[in-house]
Amino acid sequence: MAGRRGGELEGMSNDTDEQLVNRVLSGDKTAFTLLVLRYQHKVAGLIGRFVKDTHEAEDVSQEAFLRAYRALPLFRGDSAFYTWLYRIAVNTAKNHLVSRGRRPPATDMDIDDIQSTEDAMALSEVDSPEANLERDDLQKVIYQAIQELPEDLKTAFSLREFSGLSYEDITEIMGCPVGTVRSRIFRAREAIDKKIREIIQ
Amino acid sequence: MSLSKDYSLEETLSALMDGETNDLELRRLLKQIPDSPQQEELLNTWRRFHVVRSLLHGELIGESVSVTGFAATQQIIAAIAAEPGYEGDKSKKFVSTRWYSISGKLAVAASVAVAVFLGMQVLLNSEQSTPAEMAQSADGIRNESGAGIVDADAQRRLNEYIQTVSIQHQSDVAGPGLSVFEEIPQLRPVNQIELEASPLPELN
Repeated sequence: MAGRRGGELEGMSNDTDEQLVNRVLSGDKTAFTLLVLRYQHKVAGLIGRFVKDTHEAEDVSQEAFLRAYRALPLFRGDSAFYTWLYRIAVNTAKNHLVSRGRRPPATDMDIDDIQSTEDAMALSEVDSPEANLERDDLQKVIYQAIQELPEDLKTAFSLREFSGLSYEDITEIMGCPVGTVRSRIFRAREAIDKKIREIIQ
Repeated sequence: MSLSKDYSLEETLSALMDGETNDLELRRLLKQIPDSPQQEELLNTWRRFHVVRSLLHGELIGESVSVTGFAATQQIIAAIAAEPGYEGDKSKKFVSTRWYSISGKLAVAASVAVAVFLGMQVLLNSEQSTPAEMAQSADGIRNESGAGIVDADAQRRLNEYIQTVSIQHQSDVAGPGLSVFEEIPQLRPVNQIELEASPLPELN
């Protein structure tokens, strides 16, 4: 069940990012807040590979997002927004280490390497046992929540998250209007969110 | 009533993360979030939606997801709030304009190529002429291949013009720069050696 068609998901992700970036460049800082919240956990994970201290990592993460905000007019859209943000985060972390007299890692991981499941799992061995447990617990709760969903919600959610289909494609498969697809996917996310809310919060 | 309003906002957030909102809907959402009494909950919901997605897809996330909570986000938001805002239309927006840029440059290249080609057609004798007919003409030179006759002086002027025009693609999109004249052999500028190898005949 845990598979994805990277192309479709990535394409739609780029649409969201493009919309939000354009709103930021039009003066809407709330749009940047949404971008921060969208990628904060991934940036934190990335920076955590360089900076082990949690509070220090938070400061570096803040610096990375600040740099991204300031450099946003320079983002040309030639790469995905997260790819661009990733590079800023890596540079920020490295600069932080250098300024502290510490040496950055000898090899810089390629973004594709980090995002692959195998490497993510391998990297998770570097994390504390508590962090691994938290992540494993969360994944179990999420999968359990998906299994408990009503069929129509589970189908819509799965077609979206695991098959990467657009709402329009899903309407053709499920034979319902796009508004219904949108509502079902949201209700599925809401049901899952209810289960993990207290763990994450 | 406020609950139903926020429900609608959360559903819009869900659609936004799928890239399924239009611009108007997004603008409304961005306008309503700061004014919503459940602003913090809305933003946290958005965050958790993305954490779930990352966990489902095995993506790398923070060592402890709970650490990247809203407190850390609020610090970032406060830092951004202190920054100057971007000013709408004056700002550079990233859209897929690179296609328009390429199309525009290709259009210019094509227009110049056509103009040069037509100009050369005027200077060159008709392609229908046989080499014998060309040889009998008192108005021009037969080049070494016998493929046509060119007035040397006109060719020299044409060469000068061609060499002043250079159209390049954006190197970051199309790779190495491309000269339209290198791609179309017929429009290749004749160099001085070739020109001097075809001397003007004596006119009677």
